Amino acid sequence: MLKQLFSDKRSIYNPFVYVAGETALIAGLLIMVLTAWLGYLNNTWQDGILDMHYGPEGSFPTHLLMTLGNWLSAVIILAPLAFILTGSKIRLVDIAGTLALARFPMLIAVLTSFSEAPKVFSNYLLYQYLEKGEPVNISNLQIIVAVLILILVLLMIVWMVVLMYNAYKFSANIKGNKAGISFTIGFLAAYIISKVISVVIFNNNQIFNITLIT
Amino acid sequence: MSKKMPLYCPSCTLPLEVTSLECTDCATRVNGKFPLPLLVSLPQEDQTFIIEFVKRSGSLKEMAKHLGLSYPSVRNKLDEIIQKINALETGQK
Repeated sequence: MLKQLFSDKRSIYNPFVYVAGETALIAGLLIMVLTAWLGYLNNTWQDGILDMHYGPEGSFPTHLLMTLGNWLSAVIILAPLAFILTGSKIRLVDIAGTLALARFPMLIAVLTSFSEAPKVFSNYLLYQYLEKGEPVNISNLQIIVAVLILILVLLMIVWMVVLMYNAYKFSANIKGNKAGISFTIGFLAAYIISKVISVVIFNNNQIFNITLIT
Repeated sequence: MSKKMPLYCPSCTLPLEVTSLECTDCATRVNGKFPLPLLVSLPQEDQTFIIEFVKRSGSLKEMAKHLGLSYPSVRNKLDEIIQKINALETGQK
């Protein structure tokens, strides 16, 4: 299965031909734990399905809760939609598992946050154009690295959305316009829910027994 | 070389029927008009899938393992074959 997965070029946008169900769920959960841990180390918050921002220091459980919240908000919206729209005998574990695995690009995106260049570039832009913060010295190399990282992160986000769409379409066996329209509506609803979850976690960190270190 | 049974008329593209059957031992020949069984009307790949699926007691999980594919891949393939069978049945009526 793994040999076929890596030898088939289509696996880049649809690995679910070879991996789904429990295997995808376990792999996806491990990826999310690792992504949250890296986010905890470099203060990168995934505060929404599509979001990745630098922020204050926070505990690992906060990062993990937010990462899992992003995945769960997609599952709780897209899974019922799939069951309503499909004409096939589908399984919840396939939808949940493939949507978990679809978050792999975020792991690469969070890794880029270990570079200081985007932070320096962002502070430079804030001071230069909004007159916020303090003067920043930035080299040309840092600007190039920051722009390249920005492009890479955007590509990773696009890749993740493509993977999520294929996860939904393939696990639910929904085709054509029905798949496209239902995914778009479901994705937007899930995005709103994920943002609400992030705000609730940030605002109620004491209730969740989570310490935000500012 | 294994011969592929033609299913459609190469001239007018309508479905073909069996008109003659012969005993492989005594060469007795039966003539008539026999429509092709539904399963034979499916592409070879689908027939192989169905045979392998039945051999695995209709277990999609076992089938996925055998083909090195995921469960949804196999289930989607089965859905596709069911659609083809339904279309053939509708066409035959």
